[in-house]
Amino acid sequence: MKIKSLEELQKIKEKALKEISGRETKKRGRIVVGMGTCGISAGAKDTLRALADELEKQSIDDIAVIQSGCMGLCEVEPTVEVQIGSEEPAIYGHVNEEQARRIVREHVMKGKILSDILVKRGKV
Amino acid sequence: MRTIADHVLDIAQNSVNAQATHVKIKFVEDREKIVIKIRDNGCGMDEEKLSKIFDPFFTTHKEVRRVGLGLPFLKQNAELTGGYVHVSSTPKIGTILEATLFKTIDCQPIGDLAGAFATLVTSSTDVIWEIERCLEKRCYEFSSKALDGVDLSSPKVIKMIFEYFKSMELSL
Ligand SMILES: Nc1ncnc2c1ncn2[C@@H]1O[C@H](COP(=O)(O)OP(=O)(O)OP(=O)(O)O)[C@@H](O)[C@H]1O
Ligand code: FES
Ligand SMILES: [Mg+2]
Repeated sequence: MKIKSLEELQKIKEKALKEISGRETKKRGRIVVGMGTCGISAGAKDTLRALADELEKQSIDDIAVIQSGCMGLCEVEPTVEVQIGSEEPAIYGHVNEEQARRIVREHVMKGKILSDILVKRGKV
Repeated sequence: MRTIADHVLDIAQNSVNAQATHVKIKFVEDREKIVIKIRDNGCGMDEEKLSKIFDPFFTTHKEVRRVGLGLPFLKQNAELTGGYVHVSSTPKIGTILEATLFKTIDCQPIGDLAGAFATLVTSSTDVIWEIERCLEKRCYEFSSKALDGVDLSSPKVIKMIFEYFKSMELSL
């Protein structure tokens, strides 16, 4: 028995194209979640979900959420890189769901660097 | 403890890293077993490489022995249940992985399969994902083609896709 899954996808597409791509999407910044083996093991998919959820809750749609492979930072996974505008990227470590929401509320919304979970500034 | 969903996410990432543009995942479960098939059109492997993929020392990651993911661990877990993992591959054509795990007490929990699928299908716009998931006789399917033109880096879209898979899992 097949559940009507593709129809549900069609609805997502219509919604997405209407609400989002309808207007010019000039992105203000991006958040990169490390999804290598270590990241996955440390729960990076929950971090990804929490980031998307909090951004949506705060009605932020000019930040791209991207996944990357191994960042070589196994000890501090899950890792998240935040880059807003032309500022230097900030790499955060041990980003669980709670920290992910903090990143959205503090860094993305107020431009505040969270020094307690900061791993480094600049490119990985 | 690692879950089967973690394995699916990790193993399917290998297809992406192998430059696949098309990945098909079949996850079929009944009362006694779980059968996973992942087929990609990535770079594939020659005989020599193929013979090493279950060797825990072959991986490029130093830490995987601690985190318990990767092909050697999937194989070990499957065999512990009386099942198996089989990989066949052709250079420049692609790779097919088939795993069977029996639901014995040694079988790892399935875990957050919905989250693993949602993560995979939003991981890259360059890959077409096709997923078929069945529990007994009930199935749902996903195809990236149905989301053609949708911005997969949009938080709203990512959230919708997580919710899509969650509701599909609940409907099984
Ligand atoms: N689907 C696939 N297609 C081609 N090669 C693969 C595939 N799966 C695994 N491999 C090869 O087997 C190696 C070991 O895989 P494993 O997942 O254990 O380690 P890995 O370090 O995560 O690899 P990578 O991150 O580079 O994909 C990989 O580096 C790759 O060369
Ligand atoms: S994911 Fe752990 S070292 Fe790359
Ligand atoms: Mg891998």
